[in-house]
Amino acid sequence: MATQAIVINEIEWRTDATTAKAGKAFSAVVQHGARHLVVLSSIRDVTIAMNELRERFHLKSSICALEEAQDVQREQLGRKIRYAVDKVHMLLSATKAAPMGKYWKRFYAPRLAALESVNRELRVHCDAMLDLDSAVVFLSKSDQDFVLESVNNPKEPSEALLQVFARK
Amino acid sequence: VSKPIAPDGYLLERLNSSLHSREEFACGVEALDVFLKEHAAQVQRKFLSATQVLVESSVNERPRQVRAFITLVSAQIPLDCCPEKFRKLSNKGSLPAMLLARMAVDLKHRNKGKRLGEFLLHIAFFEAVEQAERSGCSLLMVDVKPTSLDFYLRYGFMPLPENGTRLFLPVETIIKAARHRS
Repeated sequence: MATQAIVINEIEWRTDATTAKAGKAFSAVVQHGARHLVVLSSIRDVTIAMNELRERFHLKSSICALEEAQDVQREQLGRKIRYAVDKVHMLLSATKAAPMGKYWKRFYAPRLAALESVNRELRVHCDAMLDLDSAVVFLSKSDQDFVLESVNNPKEPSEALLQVFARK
Repeated sequence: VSKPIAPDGYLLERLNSSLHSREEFACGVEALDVFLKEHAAQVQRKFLSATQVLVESSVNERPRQVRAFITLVSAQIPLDCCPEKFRKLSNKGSLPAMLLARMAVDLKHRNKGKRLGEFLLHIAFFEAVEQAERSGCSLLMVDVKPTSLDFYLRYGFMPLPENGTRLFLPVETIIKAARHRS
Protein backbone atom coordinates (compact mmCIF):
# COMPACT_ATOMS: atom_id res chain seq x y z
CA MET A 1 0.00 0.00 0.00
CA ALA A 2 2.86 2.35 0.92
CA THR A 3 4.63 1.56 -2.35
CA GLN A 4 1.45 2.25 -4.25
CA ALA A 5 1.13 5.69 -2.60
CA ILE A 6 4.77 6.49 -3.43
CA VAL A 7 4.30 5.52 -7.07
CA ILE A 8 1.07 7.53 -7.42
CA ASN A 9 2.71 10.51 -5.69
CA GLU A 10 5.64 10.34 -8.08
CA ILE A 11 3.35 10.35 -11.11
CA GLU A 12 1.48 13.28 -9.57
CA TRP A 13 4.54 15.41 -9.00
CA ARG A 14 5.92 14.59 -12.42
CA THR A 15 2.59 15.70 -13.87
CA ASP A 16 2.74 18.94 -11.86
CA ALA A 17 6.30 19.55 -13.05
CA THR A 18 5.23 18.99 -16.66
CA THR A 19 2.32 21.43 -16.25
CA ALA A 20 4.64 24.06 -14.77
CA LYS A 21 7.18 23.63 -17.58
CA ALA A 22 4.43 23.81 -20.21
CA GLY A 23 3.16 27.02 -18.59
CA LYS A 24 6.64 28.53 -18.64
CA ALA A 25 7.14 27.59 -22.29
CA PHE A 26 3.73 28.99 -23.18
CA SER A 27 4.66 32.32 -21.56
CA ALA A 28 7.90 32.38 -23.53
CA VAL A 29 6.02 31.77 -26.79
CA VAL A 30 3.43 34.49 -26.30
CA GLN A 31 5.91 37.00 -24.87
CA HIS A 32 6.84 39.64 -27.38
CA GLY A 33 10.48 39.77 -28.11
CA ALA A 34 11.25 36.37 -26.59
CA ARG A 35 14.30 34.75 -28.15
CA HIS A 36 13.83 31.65 -30.26
CA LEU A 37 16.55 29.83 -28.38
CA VAL A 38 14.73 30.38 -25.09
CA VAL A 39 11.46 29.07 -26.55
CA LEU A 40 13.16 26.09 -28.17
CA SER A 41 14.90 25.20 -24.95
CA SER A 42 11.60 25.48 -23.01
CA ILE A 43 9.88 23.18 -25.52
CA ARG A 44 12.71 20.67 -25.13
CA ASP A 45 12.29 20.79 -21.34
CA VAL A 46 8.58 20.05 -21.65
CA THR A 47 9.24 17.14 -24.02
CA ILE A 48 11.79 15.66 -21.61
CA ALA A 49 9.36 16.01 -18.69
CA MET A 50 6.54 14.40 -20.68
CA ASN A 51 8.75 11.53 -21.81
CA GLU A 52 9.75 10.88 -18.21
CA LEU A 53 6.10 10.92 -17.19
CA ARG A 54 5.17 8.54 -20.01
CA GLU A 55 7.95 6.15 -19.02
CA ARG A 56 6.35 5.84 -15.56
CA PHE A 57 3.37 4.15 -17.19
CA HIS A 58 5.59 1.39 -18.54
CA LEU A 59 7.09 0.40 -15.21
CA LYS A 60 5.73 -2.70 -13.54
CA SER A 61 5.42 -0.87 -10.19
CA SER A 62 3.34 1.87 -11.82
CA ILE A 63 1.14 -0.62 -13.63
CA CYS A 64 0.40 -2.44 -10.36
CA ALA A 65 -0.16 0.81 -8.44
CA LEU A 66 -2.58 2.18 -11.01
CA GLU A 67 -4.54 -1.04 -11.16
CA GLU A 68 -4.85 -1.19 -7.40
CA ALA A 69 -5.75 2.48 -7.08
CA GLN A 70 -9.28 3.36 -6.10
CA ASP A 71 -11.59 4.89 -8.71
CA VAL A 72 -11.43 8.32 -7.03
CA GLN A 73 -7.65 8.25 -6.88
CA ARG A 74 -7.37 7.26 -10.54
CA GLU A 75 -9.88 9.87 -11.60
CA GLN A 76 -7.96 12.59 -9.73
CA LEU A 77 -4.73 11.55 -11.37
CA GLY A 78 -6.40 11.29 -14.76
CA ARG A 79 -7.75 14.86 -14.42
CA LYS A 80 -4.32 16.12 -13.39
CA ILE A 81 -2.66 14.52 -16.40
CA ARG A 82 -5.41 15.79 -18.68
CA TYR A 83 -4.73 19.32 -17.40
CA ALA A 84 -1.04 18.93 -18.30
CA VAL A 85 -1.93 17.45 -21.70
CA ASP A 86 -4.32 20.34 -22.42
CA LYS A 87 -1.67 22.85 -21.38
CA VAL A 88 0.82 21.26 -23.78
CA HIS A 89 -1.83 21.32 -26.48
CA MET A 90 -2.19 25.10 -25.91
CA LEU A 91 1.58 25.44 -26.11
CA LEU A 92 1.67 23.53 -29.42
CA SER A 93 -1.13 25.64 -30.90
CA ALA A 94 0.45 28.93 -29.78
CA THR A 95 3.87 27.95 -31.11
CA LYS A 96 2.51 26.85 -34.47
CA ALA A 97 0.56 30.10 -34.77
CA ALA A 98 3.57 32.28 -33.91
CA PRO A 99 5.37 33.89 -36.84
CA MET A 100 8.82 32.29 -36.85
CA GLY A 101 10.03 32.59 -40.43
CA LYS A 102 11.42 29.91 -42.71
CA TYR A 103 14.83 29.79 -41.03
CA TRP A 104 13.57 29.11 -37.49
CA LYS A 105 10.71 26.90 -38.64
CA ARG A 106 13.09 24.04 -39.44
CA PHE A 107 14.36 24.11 -35.85
CA TYR A 108 10.85 24.12 -34.43
CA ALA A 109 9.29 21.45 -36.66
CA PRO A 110 11.04 18.30 -35.28
CA ARG A 111 10.72 19.50 -31.68
CA LEU A 112 7.03 20.22 -32.03
CA ALA A 113 6.46 16.85 -33.74
CA ALA A 114 8.17 15.03 -30.86
CA LEU A 115 6.15 16.93 -28.27
CA GLU A 116 2.92 16.32 -30.15
CA SER A 117 3.62 12.59 -30.32
CA VAL A 118 4.28 12.16 -26.59
CA ASN A 119 1.30 14.38 -25.78
CA ARG A 120 -0.97 12.13 -27.84
CA GLU A 121 0.26 9.06 -25.95
CA LEU A 122 -0.32 10.66 -22.58
CA ARG A 123 -3.82 11.69 -23.62
CA VAL A 124 -4.62 8.02 -24.22
CA HIS A 125 -3.49 7.22 -20.66
CA CYS A 126 -5.57 9.95 -19.05
CA ASP A 127 -8.63 9.14 -21.18
CA ALA A 128 -8.34 5.54 -20.07
CA MET A 129 -8.02 6.58 -16.43
CA LEU A 130 -11.07 8.79 -16.63
CA ASP A 131 -13.18 6.07 -18.20
CA LEU A 132 -14.15 4.49 -14.90
CA ASP A 133 -16.95 2.32 -16.18
CA SER A 134 -14.60 -0.15 -17.76
CA ALA A 135 -11.49 -1.80 -16.48
CA VAL A 136 -8.23 -0.47 -17.78
CA VAL A 137 -5.42 -2.93 -18.32
CA PHE A 138 -2.05 -1.25 -18.42
CA LEU A 139 0.63 -3.21 -20.27
CA SER A 140 4.31 -2.58 -20.80
CA LYS A 141 5.40 -1.62 -24.32
CA SER A 142 6.76 -5.08 -25.18
CA ASP A 143 3.57 -6.74 -23.87
CA GLN A 144 1.51 -4.34 -25.98
CA ASP A 145 3.53 -5.25 -29.08
CA PHE A 146 3.14 -8.96 -28.34
CA VAL A 147 -0.63 -8.62 -27.92
CA LEU A 148 -0.96 -6.59 -31.12
CA GLU A 149 1.09 -9.10 -33.08
CA SER A 150 -1.02 -12.00 -31.73
CA VAL A 151 -4.31 -10.22 -32.44
CA ASN A 152 -3.12 -9.36 -35.93
CA ASN A 153 -2.04 -12.94 -36.64
CA PRO A 154 -4.29 -15.08 -34.44
CA LYS A 155 -3.05 -18.60 -33.95
CA GLU A 156 -5.08 -21.71 -34.66
CA PRO A 157 -7.30 -22.94 -31.80
CA SER A 158 -5.91 -25.63 -29.53
CA GLU A 159 -7.43 -29.09 -29.40
CA ALA A 160 -9.01 -28.35 -26.01
CA LEU A 161 -10.59 -25.16 -27.36
CA LEU A 162 -12.04 -27.07 -30.30
CA GLN A 163 -13.42 -29.62 -27.85
CA VAL A 164 -15.22 -26.86 -25.92
CA PHE A 165 -17.25 -25.97 -28.96
CA ALA A 166 -17.73 -29.60 -29.95
CA ARG A 167 -19.34 -30.25 -26.57
CA LYS A 168 -23.15 -30.23 -26.59
CA VAL B 1 -21.56 -18.68 -31.55
CA SER B 2 -24.58 -19.97 -29.65
CA LYS B 3 -24.91 -19.67 -25.88
CA PRO B 4 -23.80 -22.89 -24.20
CA ILE B 5 -26.36 -24.91 -22.30
CA ALA B 6 -25.64 -25.51 -18.62
CA PRO B 7 -24.54 -29.03 -17.65
CA ASP B 8 -27.26 -31.46 -16.49
CA GLY B 9 -28.51 -30.61 -13.03
CA TYR B 10 -27.43 -26.96 -13.15
CA LEU B 11 -28.88 -23.64 -14.18
CA LEU B 12 -26.98 -20.57 -15.28
CA GLU B 13 -28.41 -17.30 -13.93
CA ARG B 14 -27.37 -13.71 -13.53
CA LEU B 15 -26.35 -13.07 -9.92
CA ASN B 16 -29.23 -11.71 -7.88
CA SER B 17 -28.79 -11.09 -4.15
CA SER B 18 -32.36 -12.07 -3.33
CA LEU B 19 -32.38 -15.23 -5.43
CA HIS B 20 -28.89 -16.56 -4.76
CA SER B 21 -27.34 -17.50 -1.46
CA ARG B 22 -23.56 -17.32 -1.29
CA GLU B 23 -22.81 -18.23 2.33
CA GLU B 24 -21.92 -21.86 1.70
CA PHE B 25 -19.67 -21.15 -1.26
CA ALA B 26 -16.07 -22.27 -0.75
CA CYS B 27 -13.67 -22.74 -3.65
CA GLY B 28 -10.47 -22.97 -1.64
CA VAL B 29 -9.29 -19.46 -2.49
CA GLU B 30 -10.43 -17.02 0.16
CA ALA B 31 -10.17 -13.95 -2.06
CA LEU B 32 -12.63 -15.46 -4.54
CA ASP B 33 -15.06 -16.52 -1.78
CA VAL B 34 -14.94 -13.02 -0.29
CA PHE B 35 -15.44 -11.43 -3.68
CA LEU B 36 -18.57 -13.48 -4.36
CA LYS B 37 -19.99 -12.95 -0.88
CA GLU B 38 -19.22 -9.27 -0.39
CA HIS B 39 -18.45 -7.50 -3.63
CA ALA B 40 -19.86 -9.28 -6.69
CA ALA B 41 -23.43 -8.02 -6.26
CA GLN B 42 -22.27 -4.54 -5.26
CA VAL B 43 -20.10 -4.00 -8.34
CA GLN B 44 -22.77 -5.51 -10.55
CA ARG B 45 -25.31 -2.99 -9.24
CA LYS B 46 -22.97 -0.23 -10.37
CA PHE B 47 -22.70 -1.96 -13.78
CA LEU B 48 -18.93 -2.28 -13.37
CA SER B 49 -19.00 -6.02 -13.97
CA ALA B 50 -21.43 -8.86 -14.65
CA THR B 51 -21.54 -12.07 -12.63
CA GLN B 52 -23.27 -15.24 -13.74
CA VAL B 53 -23.77 -18.10 -11.34
CA LEU B 54 -24.45 -21.80 -11.57
CA VAL B 55 -27.07 -23.20 -9.22
CA GLU B 56 -28.53 -26.68 -8.86
CA SER B 57 -31.74 -27.05 -10.83
CA SER B 58 -33.00 -29.84 -8.58
CA VAL B 59 -33.19 -27.49 -5.57
CA ASN B 60 -36.55 -25.76 -5.45
CA GLU B 61 -36.28 -23.56 -2.39
CA ARG B 62 -35.14 -19.96 -2.83
CA PRO B 63 -32.59 -18.58 -2.46
CA ARG B 64 -30.51 -21.25 -4.20
CA GLN B 65 -26.90 -21.82 -3.22
CA VAL B 66 -24.28 -20.68 -5.74
CA ARG B 67 -22.10 -23.59 -6.87
CA ALA B 68 -19.89 -21.78 -9.38
CA PHE B 69 -19.58 -18.29 -10.77
CA ILE B 70 -17.91 -16.20 -13.42
CA THR B 71 -17.42 -12.42 -13.45
CA LEU B 72 -16.71 -10.63 -16.69
CA VAL B 73 -15.64 -7.03 -17.17
CA SER B 74 -15.45 -4.98 -20.30
CA ALA B 75 -11.91 -3.61 -20.48
CA GLN B 76 -9.60 -1.53 -22.58
CA ILE B 77 -5.86 -1.66 -23.09
CA PRO B 78 -4.22 1.72 -23.71
CA LEU B 79 -1.61 1.54 -26.46
CA ASP B 80 1.48 3.67 -26.77
CA CYS B 81 2.87 4.58 -30.13
CA CYS B 82 0.92 1.94 -32.04
CA PRO B 83 3.03 0.78 -35.03
CA GLU B 84 1.57 1.73 -38.42
CA LYS B 85 0.80 -1.88 -39.42
CA PHE B 86 -1.47 -2.26 -36.37
CA ARG B 87 -3.12 1.13 -36.68
CA LYS B 88 -6.40 -0.40 -37.86
CA LEU B 89 -6.57 -2.62 -34.78
CA SER B 90 -6.50 0.15 -32.24
CA ASN B 91 -9.57 2.15 -31.47
CA LYS B 92 -8.52 5.69 -30.54
CA GLY B 93 -5.26 4.42 -29.11
CA SER B 94 -6.66 1.54 -27.11
CA LEU B 95 -7.63 -2.06 -27.69
CA PRO B 96 -11.10 -3.26 -26.57
CA ALA B 97 -10.98 -6.42 -24.51
CA MET B 98 -12.96 -8.57 -22.13
CA LEU B 99 -11.49 -9.39 -18.77
CA LEU B 100 -12.28 -12.69 -17.15
CA ALA B 101 -12.11 -11.08 -13.74
CA ARG B 102 -13.09 -14.00 -11.48
CA MET B 103 -14.09 -17.59 -11.97
CA ALA B 104 -14.48 -20.32 -9.37
CA VAL B 105 -16.21 -23.63 -8.72
CA ASP B 106 -17.26 -24.81 -5.25
CA LEU B 107 -14.93 -27.53 -3.96
CA LYS B 108 -17.86 -29.95 -3.42
CA HIS B 109 -18.91 -29.61 -7.06
CA ARG B 110 -15.55 -30.28 -8.66
CA ASN B 111 -14.39 -33.49 -10.30
CA LYS B 112 -17.89 -34.84 -10.77
CA GLY B 113 -17.55 -35.17 -14.50
CA LYS B 114 -19.66 -32.09 -15.15
CA ARG B 115 -16.69 -29.95 -16.17
CA LEU B 116 -18.17 -26.82 -14.64
CA GLY B 117 -14.89 -24.88 -15.09
CA GLU B 118 -14.84 -25.63 -18.79
CA PHE B 119 -18.50 -24.66 -19.06
CA LEU B 120 -17.82 -21.29 -17.41
CA LEU B 121 -14.92 -20.73 -19.75
CA HIS B 122 -17.28 -21.49 -22.63
CA ILE B 123 -19.55 -18.73 -21.26
CA ALA B 124 -16.56 -16.33 -21.29
CA PHE B 125 -15.83 -17.28 -24.93
CA PHE B 126 -19.47 -16.75 -25.85
CA GLU B 127 -19.65 -13.34 -24.13
CA ALA B 128 -16.36 -12.21 -25.70
CA VAL B 129 -17.62 -13.08 -29.19
CA GLU B 130 -20.98 -11.42 -28.45
CA GLN B 131 -19.23 -8.25 -27.33
CA ALA B 132 -16.93 -8.39 -30.36
CA GLU B 133 -19.94 -8.48 -32.65
CA ARG B 134 -21.89 -5.86 -30.68
CA SER B 135 -19.36 -3.21 -29.80
CA GLY B 136 -15.87 -4.56 -30.43
CA CYS B 137 -13.59 -6.86 -28.47
CA SER B 138 -10.22 -8.05 -29.70
CA LEU B 139 -9.23 -10.42 -26.95
CA LEU B 140 -10.18 -12.22 -23.79
CA MET B 141 -7.77 -11.58 -20.92
CA VAL B 142 -7.35 -13.29 -17.57
CA ASP B 143 -5.07 -12.96 -14.54
CA VAL B 144 -4.35 -16.40 -13.18
CA LYS B 145 -2.90 -17.98 -10.09
CA PRO B 146 0.16 -20.15 -10.82
CA THR B 147 -1.89 -23.19 -9.77
CA SER B 148 -4.48 -22.67 -12.50
CA LEU B 149 -2.01 -21.69 -15.22
CA ASP B 150 -2.12 -25.11 -16.91
CA PHE B 151 -5.90 -25.03 -17.12
CA TYR B 152 -5.86 -21.87 -19.24
CA LEU B 153 -2.79 -22.80 -21.31
CA ARG B 154 -4.62 -25.92 -22.42
CA TYR B 155 -7.25 -23.77 -24.15
CA GLY B 156 -4.63 -21.77 -26.01
CA PHE B 157 -4.35 -18.75 -23.72
CA MET B 158 -0.95 -17.09 -24.16
CA PRO B 159 1.08 -15.56 -21.31
CA LEU B 160 2.43 -12.04 -21.74
CA PRO B 161 6.23 -11.91 -22.09
CA GLU B 162 6.68 -9.60 -19.10
CA ASN B 163 3.82 -10.85 -16.96
CA GLY B 164 3.55 -14.61 -17.04
CA THR B 165 0.36 -14.77 -14.96
CA ARG B 166 -1.61 -12.51 -17.27
CA LEU B 167 -2.92 -14.52 -20.21
CA PHE B 168 -4.94 -13.67 -23.25
CA LEU B 169 -6.67 -15.28 -26.21
CA PRO B 170 -7.54 -13.39 -29.40
CA VAL B 171 -11.28 -13.42 -30.10
CA GLU B 172 -10.53 -14.45 -33.66
CA THR B 173 -9.03 -17.71 -32.40
CA ILE B 174 -12.24 -18.37 -30.46
CA ILE B 175 -14.32 -17.66 -33.56
CA LYS B 176 -12.13 -20.03 -35.58
CA ALA B 177 -12.80 -22.77 -33.03
CA ALA B 178 -16.55 -22.13 -33.12
CA ARG B 179 -16.57 -22.20 -36.95
CA HIS B 180 -14.53 -25.38 -37.01
CA ARG B 181 -17.39 -27.16 -35.25
CA SER B 182 -20.01 -25.91 -37.69
